[in-house]
Amino acid sequence: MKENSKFKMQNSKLKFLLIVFFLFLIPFEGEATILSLESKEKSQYLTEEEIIAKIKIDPEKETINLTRIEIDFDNQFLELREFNKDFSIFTFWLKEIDVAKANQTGKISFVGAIPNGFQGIFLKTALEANLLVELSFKIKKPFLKLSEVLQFSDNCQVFLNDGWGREDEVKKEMKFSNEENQENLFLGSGILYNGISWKVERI
Amino acid sequence: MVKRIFSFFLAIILTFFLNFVFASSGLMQNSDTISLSWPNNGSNHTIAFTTNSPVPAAGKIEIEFAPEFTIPDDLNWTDLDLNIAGTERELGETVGSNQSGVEVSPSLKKIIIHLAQNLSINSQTPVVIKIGQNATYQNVGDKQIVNPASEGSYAVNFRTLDQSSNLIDRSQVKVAIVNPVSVGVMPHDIYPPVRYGGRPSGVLALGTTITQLSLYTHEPALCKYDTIANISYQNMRYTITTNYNTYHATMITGLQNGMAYTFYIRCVDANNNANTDDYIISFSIQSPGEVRPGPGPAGPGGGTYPPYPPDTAEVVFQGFAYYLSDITILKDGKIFQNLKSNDKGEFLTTLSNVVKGVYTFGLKAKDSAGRESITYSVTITLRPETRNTISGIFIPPTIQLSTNQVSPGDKVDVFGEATPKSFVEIQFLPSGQAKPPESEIKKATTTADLMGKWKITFDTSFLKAQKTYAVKARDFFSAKEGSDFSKVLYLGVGVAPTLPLCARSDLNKDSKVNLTDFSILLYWWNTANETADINMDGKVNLTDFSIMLYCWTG
Repeated sequence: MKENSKFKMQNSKLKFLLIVFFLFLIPFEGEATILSLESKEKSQYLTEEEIIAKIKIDPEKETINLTRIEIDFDNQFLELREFNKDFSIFTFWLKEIDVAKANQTGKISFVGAIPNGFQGIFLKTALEANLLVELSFKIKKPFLKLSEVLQFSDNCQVFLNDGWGREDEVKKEMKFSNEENQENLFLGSGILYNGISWKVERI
Repeated sequence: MVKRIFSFFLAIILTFFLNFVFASSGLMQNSDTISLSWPNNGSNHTIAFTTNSPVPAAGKIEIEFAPEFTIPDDLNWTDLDLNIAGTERELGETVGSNQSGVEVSPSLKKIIIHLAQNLSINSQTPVVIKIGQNATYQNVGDKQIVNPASEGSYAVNFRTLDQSSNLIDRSQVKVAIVNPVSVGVMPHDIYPPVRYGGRPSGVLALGTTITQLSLYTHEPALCKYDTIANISYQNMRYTITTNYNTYHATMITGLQNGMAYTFYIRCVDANNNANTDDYIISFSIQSPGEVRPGPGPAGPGGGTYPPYPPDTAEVVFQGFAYYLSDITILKDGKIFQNLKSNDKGEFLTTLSNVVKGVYTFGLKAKDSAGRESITYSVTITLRPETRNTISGIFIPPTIQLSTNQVSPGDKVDVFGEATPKSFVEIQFLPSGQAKPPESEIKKATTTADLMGKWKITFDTSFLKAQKTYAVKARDFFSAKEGSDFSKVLYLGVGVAPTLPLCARSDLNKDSKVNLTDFSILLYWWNTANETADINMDGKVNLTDFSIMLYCWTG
């Protein structure tokens, strides 16, 4: 009986140590705004082909109101053709993209703002809106990996809607998607934090 | 030969007196008929609608054109006619007892008619406003509004408002701007109109004797119908549209319970391309004793709702503010709609005919003492022909301090308004720290009364001396049903508090933080101007703009 309880104690100690060990294995990630560069997945990038890159933002649990984005691209391999801001979340553009200058310098920069802030509570719902701009490139020379010729620079800034103008930490990522017709995903309903619910239906 | 034929190409005008109407809620039978639809050309506008709700004396009629239209600076009341219920009304520069005043704002693309002190408009009353050289009643107009420079469909909004500028009814029509069409050996257009969105369909409610038959075409067209199939367009007996429209509607009367109806529709475009097949709209009227699912709004196949304008959506906001409070809805930073909450603080509003796209809507409320809430911001994508409902929105409480500086140990009253009978929590946080440790945050709670008023008397002996504290509040019904935090106020304990940055963001001191302040900020960009340097760090830059965006009132 005594042996059994000793075994039980040892067993629970072992369990505790294992939990602590695995907790240390989980990376500690602070909250930050995620900037993503999304493009359609391609097995090869050939001359004269077009690439569309969507620049998106996810402020996670924060509310942001102003961003300054800088993207580096290799102008030996890519030519910026145009940009589309029709579905951008920005209400104000303080600095628009200068296509000619971008192709000369290999740097795309723009600054946009949203009065009263942008919070990503509707991300991954039918009401999702988080596009900053859509970029269209022509391939000048073939290459293998998009991330080697196109990436965010270290000069991106995101400002919190906190009344102090503080900057949020920025994480950058590249995503590849295989976008097909997602018409059916545009309807639905759900409940978000603080009891806010949403519903999208056909009229 | 081909060259010779092409040399005889003749540009002809096909689009005079076009009128493009999309159905909408609020005001009824809306239209804006323009005399010339060429881009960048002056055009007369004949705006017509029927009121849904009465407009009181000294109320307003507001017409807002899409930003792409140009209103000449010298267009004024002499270029307008106002006809209410078939009677021409006196217009002038200012409002009188029987004279309505005309206000023209070329920069805002608005024309506002301030109704005379003795002039009101009943519900269900037709109103016609002529703008341009078609105005002939008191004076012959000599100015015209200039069409947008490029082809497309452009919105014109009509609103009726009361004397306090509260919205009564509204609607939107779209005006199509198209280039003159050339004809020659190869016609520009050889295809007949595509017809879609026919209504009604299915079973209509018992007792329905009248309904609206409607459909859309992809291009401006004329449409007719018949009750017999396979009749050519020319020989069809009944006309639906007499002007080239993309939306076509006509009333069908004499309907009877238990009967089925089928209508065959054909249309023709401006190039005389007529449909050679029938587009069928069929429906029936419920028989007495027939059981129908319900209640609820008619879905596809039910009801007599007019078709929803394509490329637009509906947004519904439902939530909680304060006791009988004024609520303002901002769309992309500009004031879009005003409404009122009920005595429980509940509000519900529907924004109709919002053009598809991405929008940031802001909701804010003003309490009985005139204090404004923080703006609750929602950024969403609206897809065409959808109803987008966001419910359970809690507007954060208003907040005020009895003083902004106390001696250590003194008491301070924190008060404001919240949703009636909700729990209110206040927090004191050391100022300047983004995320102070939980142990340094001091909290207190109370319950808002039946009229939403709340007050907490806080003992500052719990706070550290010689420090500024940020004070904020939130309200909730349960852990999963509550507001975000309110505006942040600052309390100095033994010291003067930090200067409120929102007051500094109002650069022109007009009690609003809006585009004018932004313009001033841009003027001083990258300088050390003391007024525009909101956070007083020696430079006017993005940080100052971010603070301004936080404080934005629209």
